[in-house]
Amino acid sequence: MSSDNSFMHLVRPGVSAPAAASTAHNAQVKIHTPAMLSILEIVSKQIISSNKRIIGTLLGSRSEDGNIFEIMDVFMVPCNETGDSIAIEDQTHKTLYQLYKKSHPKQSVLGWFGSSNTIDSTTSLIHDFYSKGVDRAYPFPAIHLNVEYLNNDNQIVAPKVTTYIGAAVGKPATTAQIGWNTNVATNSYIFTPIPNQLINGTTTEKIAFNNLQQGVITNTTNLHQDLSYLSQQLEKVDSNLSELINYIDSGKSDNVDLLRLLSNTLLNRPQLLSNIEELQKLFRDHNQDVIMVEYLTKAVKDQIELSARLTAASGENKYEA
Amino acid sequence: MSDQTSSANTITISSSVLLSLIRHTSENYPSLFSGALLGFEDDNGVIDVTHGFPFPYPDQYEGGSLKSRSGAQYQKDILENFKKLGYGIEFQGWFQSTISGNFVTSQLVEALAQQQLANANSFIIIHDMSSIGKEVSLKALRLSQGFMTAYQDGKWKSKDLEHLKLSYFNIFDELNVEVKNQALVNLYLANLKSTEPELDILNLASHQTSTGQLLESLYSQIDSFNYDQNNFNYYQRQLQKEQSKINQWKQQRKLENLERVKKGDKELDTEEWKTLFRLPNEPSRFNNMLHSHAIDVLADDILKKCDEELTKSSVIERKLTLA
Repeated sequence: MSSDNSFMHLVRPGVSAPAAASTAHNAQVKIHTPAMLSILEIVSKQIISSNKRIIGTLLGSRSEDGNIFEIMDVFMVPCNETGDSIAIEDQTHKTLYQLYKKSHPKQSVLGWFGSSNTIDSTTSLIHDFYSKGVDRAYPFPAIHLNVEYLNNDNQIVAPKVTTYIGAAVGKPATTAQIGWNTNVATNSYIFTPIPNQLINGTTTEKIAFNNLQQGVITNTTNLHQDLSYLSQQLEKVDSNLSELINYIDSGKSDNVDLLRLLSNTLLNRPQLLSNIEELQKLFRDHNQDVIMVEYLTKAVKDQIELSARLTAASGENKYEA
Repeated sequence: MSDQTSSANTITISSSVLLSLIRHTSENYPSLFSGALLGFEDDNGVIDVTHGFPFPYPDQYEGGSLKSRSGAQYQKDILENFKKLGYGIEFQGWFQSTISGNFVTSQLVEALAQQQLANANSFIIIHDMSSIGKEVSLKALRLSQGFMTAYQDGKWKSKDLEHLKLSYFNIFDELNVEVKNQALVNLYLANLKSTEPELDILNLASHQTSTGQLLESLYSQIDSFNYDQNNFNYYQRQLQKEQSKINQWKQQRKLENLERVKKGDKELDTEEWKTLFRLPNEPSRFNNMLHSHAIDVLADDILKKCDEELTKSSVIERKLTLA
């Protein structure tokens, strides 16, 4: 994950008018974890099929001002590279996108991903494909995500993800083969790197992701949890509390916001919290309620089992009769 | 069907499929969603799930989309197009989001049974969202051999179930699910900075509605159970009535025969009651089994929630005394 600071935020160019500046800036890409992992799975094919170029479509949503791109899903699009030209199977792209759109009506095409160590004229050709046409990024600028998994010695290293926003420059002149049609293509694009970060869509997904990540390290992944997670949670609360107490005891006052939050919380606490006896009574009542629910639920569970066993037994009797 | 028994009892699923299904179901909570899981079966009896996608529309109830025309068509279209990409994959199973035991609907069971008749290795992954935001609970299920036999014969009377040793405890077999990643994905994951822990799961108050929801589901399952049980009770009363009539008749015939023996007459047939009386037909126990299973799962989950609540609440209460 790149820190935002290392990026120079240039004026973001638009796609409709080449090289025309748009006032927006600060573009950034948020990649949802499932999408990121899918990209890596698809890119893995490139390793197997000895460096045949593999590309795919990025799907997701844009923020209202068009500056924040959220990549939520991807699919592969077959392409054929011959010398300087590339044929992208646009029919496949179209069908898969329409199918995806059915179950995700609010999402659209954001751009494309690939895996290459350099940006060359083919990169521009593909980018041109994704920048134009109704079922692609148009009228918004397309983004490009590149996964680099080879180092200079052609050894596989931990994948590095870079995201770019592309802007057309120069006059559209070159004729290139894209898909089945011969199009007038803009051949030159400026690829401006923009920051990206990996995000989790929902809390549940984040919990699962943390489990998976832990699983890669420990080689076990727990999908169905019992109560053991409760003790983990309690330990976490415990350690958070001791950390806080240590901080307060240390007498430092560098984190003013935290101290302000704490003192405000203490000042605004409900009156009830000072009345230990009352509070204890409430807690005990609550515990009694929970125990009652537990008792009744157990009774239901047993009743159901009893009913099943009695029916089975009565069935046997009838057999003998 | 020639090949009745299932041969693949382990499922491996790639992280991306797992995460995207969890995202889709949790982001659309409380709407229910289902979808298809695609992959292939390897020679070692392992089902590899490599792709998955949700059905376009939310489900009215669990199992609603699995055999619907639009769902099936969508599934077919996606599979065809994925195959064009050169993926050697086939349909393997479904996923379904649910709350605790509510997934045991006749629609879901019916769809799964149909699917298992076509391919004995089909399965369904159930994502239980009763603890959404707190923990992730997934399990892969398949209808048991006993259930499938009863299903094929269409026999759901208590003596048939007794014969098959089938009860609400063993409708389903649970399958082992493992996560399997491509090497590049593992390399990537291992090199990520570990993400910050999720603090929301520590929030005690954010979870209070879920036990209530579970209890409501439990009530409605018990209502359905009772409705079905009433029919059965009616049958049992009828049966008892007829049986006592038969006993009366047998008694009378016995006396009659004694008389006749004394007189030297020929004894009358004691088995004649079989043609005179007809025992009522036992209603199917199918729904009873499904409701019982749902109630059992719900009860277990509620008990778990209660244990959790008691632990947390007691911890705080103990600490109060020290203050």
